[in-house]
Amino acid sequence: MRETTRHISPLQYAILESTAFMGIGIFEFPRLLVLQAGNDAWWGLIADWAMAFVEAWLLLKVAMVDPEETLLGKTRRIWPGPAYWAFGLADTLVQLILPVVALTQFTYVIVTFFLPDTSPWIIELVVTAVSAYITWWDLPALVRTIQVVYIPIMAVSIAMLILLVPHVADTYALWPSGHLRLYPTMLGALHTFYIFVGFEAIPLFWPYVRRQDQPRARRYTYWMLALSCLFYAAVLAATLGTENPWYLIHLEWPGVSALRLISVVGLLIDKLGVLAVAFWGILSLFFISVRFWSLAHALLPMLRQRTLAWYRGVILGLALAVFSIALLVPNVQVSDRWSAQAVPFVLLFIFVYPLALLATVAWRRHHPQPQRQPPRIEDGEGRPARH
Amino acid sequence: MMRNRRKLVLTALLGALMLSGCADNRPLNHRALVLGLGFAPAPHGQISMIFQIPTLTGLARPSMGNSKSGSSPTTFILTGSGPTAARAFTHAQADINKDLYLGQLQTLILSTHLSASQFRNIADTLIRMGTLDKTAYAMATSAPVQKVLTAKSQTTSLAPLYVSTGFWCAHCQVVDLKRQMWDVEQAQFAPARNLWLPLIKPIGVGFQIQSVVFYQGNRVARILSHHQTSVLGYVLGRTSKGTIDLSWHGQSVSVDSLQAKPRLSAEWKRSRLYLGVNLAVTGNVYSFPIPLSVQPHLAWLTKAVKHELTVQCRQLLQSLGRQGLDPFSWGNAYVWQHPHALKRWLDAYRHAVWKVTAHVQLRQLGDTT
Repeated sequence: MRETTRHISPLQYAILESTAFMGIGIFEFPRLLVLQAGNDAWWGLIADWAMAFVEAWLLLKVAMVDPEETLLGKTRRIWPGPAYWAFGLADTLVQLILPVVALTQFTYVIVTFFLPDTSPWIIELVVTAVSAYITWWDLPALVRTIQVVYIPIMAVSIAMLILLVPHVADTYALWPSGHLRLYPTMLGALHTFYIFVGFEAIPLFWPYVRRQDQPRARRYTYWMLALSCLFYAAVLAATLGTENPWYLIHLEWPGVSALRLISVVGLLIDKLGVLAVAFWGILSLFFISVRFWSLAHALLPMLRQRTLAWYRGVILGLALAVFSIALLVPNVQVSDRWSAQAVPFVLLFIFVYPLALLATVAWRRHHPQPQRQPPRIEDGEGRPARH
Repeated sequence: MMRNRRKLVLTALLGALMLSGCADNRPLNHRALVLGLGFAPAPHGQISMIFQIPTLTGLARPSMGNSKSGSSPTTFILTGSGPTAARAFTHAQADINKDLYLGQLQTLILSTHLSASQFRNIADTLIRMGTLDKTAYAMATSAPVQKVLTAKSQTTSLAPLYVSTGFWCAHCQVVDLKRQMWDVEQAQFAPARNLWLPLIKPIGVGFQIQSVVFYQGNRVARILSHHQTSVLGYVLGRTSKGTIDLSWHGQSVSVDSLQAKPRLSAEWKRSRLYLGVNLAVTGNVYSFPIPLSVQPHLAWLTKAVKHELTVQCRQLLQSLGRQGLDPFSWGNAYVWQHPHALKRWLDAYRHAVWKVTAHVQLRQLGDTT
């Protein structure tokens, strides 16, 4: 590894958390929410917010169980043996599907709106290669890259949403329904929760935050999550207001369709909104990078390897795997189906796994078992342990 | 050092890969940039798709501020017909050795003679064209579409840009009748399915856009007169330079620069729908025929303008309402809150009681001579 610090700042941690989930759902949101919840879409979004905050709270609790240890390291210590392997493999599989979904979504946005005659594989190859490239120097370098680009992207996105205000014609859709129907609302919220998928990376990055910075990192994480929630609310308002709700559900990428309406007369870039679409693509790229990093750090302890050469080898292998799987996706509907199928598993990781882990830790604390010391894969300093 | 250089080379290579453009990049002269697109009914129930494409001479000319029309044509017309819009497009593409590109479309012209099913088919096809520019201005015409697309403009050498330059500035026109293709697409899915489009008419040299066409279920339901269109402009808050001519003891007085901002209200009383439009109107009075002190003039003028506007607006809205035509998309708002009550709304809307009120504020500017 490079000899620069391996630590990241609390703000970098919070930004990393945001990019860990924002790239996957940004294009498709809020089609499923409005389709399922109808005029209760706003309540569905609020339910999603609540779930996201519970998730963040739970995962931060998990992170605090052993602040110096990675998620799989914790799992191995608490449930050594088959449970660890089962969790690791299932996690790997789901984490392999998610970047494929993000990659294909972005690719088909580009192919549909901008480059209809370009083969999707060319775009997929470029995005995968760049994702692997920015992951090449491990987390601190990855985070710095993300930090530099994330803030301008969000600033431009918010500016674009403000420019959409004159296009808001269907103001009636901005009001939440007065008659809350619980079942469709929850259905919409569950189907839309993919917008927060990736947040389970919280405990993965936690060991990279200095111990004295951890309270601040926790606070920043909540703030960044709140900002992301508000951003999604702004996207919902902009799409519902510019596209009427009945048209919105027929649009594959409602946000992109709305952004395409922005045109500033006299400005050098005629279709300014289209620029934001490209920027959102960078969010997808970061999402894929963060997945690569997470996957590499899930696989390396399982392979009992910690060297940079192995890390890069795994990154290359993952890039190849994601690119190859993406080639199997013939159209965006398949990608939608995959993301829908991955959501229940992800929910399992997000809610059931932390609860089970925290319960086990609490049980062990009250019923200590001093007879056996579970094996550790690395020591507190991050150096590889000898097995 | 070597390691850094390797990284630099790799970064440059990846950058070059990202910046190398697109695989389907084509030179401009291999592309037929469609600026105007028209649809009209063709014989045997077919749809005719008319493309207005600039020639290279047309593209090279300054698009604005040059009223001289040279000897060589700036645009040419390509037509394709077929049972569906998609087939018409294919036939047109077969007739030209360039790629028909709709990403720079400025104007969409729809003939008022299209049947409802043809209109629906056209809208469906346009919705599914990913590269199509959704901000193109949509208009209807009762004249032959080809005539509209071949008419010359006084204000721009490239006639297709007449419409876009006209609509760019919403406050430059008397009534802002700007509608975009986006509005046509949206109306296909909204439950009330109400759509209005400006009507474009080619005149000797140039165009006239002074009326509005109302569609109901993709069929032309009503064409408003020029006067009714101005009144509609007030109730929709789209009039920037309205004028009302009044008579003071046989002498004409005019109130200019009239603008109105509507505030809408709807309420149910004993299962009857009461719809209210409150207009906040401002305007200027430049001169008055007899020299009197300012205040009585303005009081009389304010009262007269208020009466004119409220009566005309109520008459128009009532007659539109009886036909089920809803320029405010009130039906969509109601159905959003009451998803299964469209029929109830439509029945109530046709028999709604309209109340139009106006708060008028006029300014006496005096003579400038």
